Amino acid sequence: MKKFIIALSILTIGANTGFAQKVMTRTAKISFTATAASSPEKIDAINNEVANIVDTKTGDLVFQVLVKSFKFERALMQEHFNENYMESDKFPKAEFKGAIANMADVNFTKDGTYNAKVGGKLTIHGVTNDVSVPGTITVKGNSYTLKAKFPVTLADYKIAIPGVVADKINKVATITLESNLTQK
Amino acid sequence: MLKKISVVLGFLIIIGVCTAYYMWTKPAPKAEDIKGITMTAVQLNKEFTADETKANASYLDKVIEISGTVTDVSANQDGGIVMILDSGDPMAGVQCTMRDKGAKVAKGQTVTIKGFCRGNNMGVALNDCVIK
Repeated sequence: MKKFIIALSILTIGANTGFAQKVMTRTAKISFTATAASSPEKIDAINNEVANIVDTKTGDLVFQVLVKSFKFERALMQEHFNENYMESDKFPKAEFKGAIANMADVNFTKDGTYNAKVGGKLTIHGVTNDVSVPGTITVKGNSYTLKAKFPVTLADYKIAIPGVVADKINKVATITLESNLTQK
Repeated sequence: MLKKISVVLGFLIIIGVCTAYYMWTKPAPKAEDIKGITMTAVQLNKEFTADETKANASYLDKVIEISGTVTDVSANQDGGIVMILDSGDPMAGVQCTMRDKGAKVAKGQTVTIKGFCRGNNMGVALNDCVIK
């Protein structure tokens, strides 16, 4: 009977941690800026509706971004972004699927800030590329904060910039990401 | 003749500049100004789960007048109020981000709101929402 109880508690604990190793949020934030040096107008946007799943055991990461959720200061810019550049009717989602490459350096059970190297596949505008992005992971109790800042070359994702605005839009957009997750 | 042409030309330029200015400064569309598609959160989730491509074609960027029960209220990183409406699937509630940061909604409330459908990422997402 004792053995049975021990076995049962091990099983329960196992099942619990198994269930709890994945954390998710649907309110991660991604912003980008693509303002060229000579542009009088800021070309940047914010998306507060990014979905993110982190597997704290394996280091697997998924980010899903609804392109239409990006908000610009100017409605016209937002329209052009969706219609001419991202073609968001055709490609409503951008996605990153990858993993923390240096899981040995990241401890999700101990408070602290860790440098993470994340590698995986980034899909934007229907084009997928292998990317490697540095970032930080801050662990505080059962809360985790993921941060990263990285460049995306628009041509790599077949995003064309028309000649008339070529001096306004930077050919490389800077992406800033922050995701706050809490283990429930 | 030349005078006439320059008057017409000048007029056209003024119209052009005004149109460009209007286009450039036009405000973002507001949910309350647009007739929405009326449906429940459960219905909307069902359509996106059944066929996402088809649902995207029908609802992306459209204003939806959605009703449902609030299962969660939280704030995003910029202080925006985010509520989750029960969709029948606890893993994929309909997420509505309110336009007004002071919007008052409480868990357990049954609400009808209007907002723009932005797609499905682990549940349907609406933003720029207003309480009906």
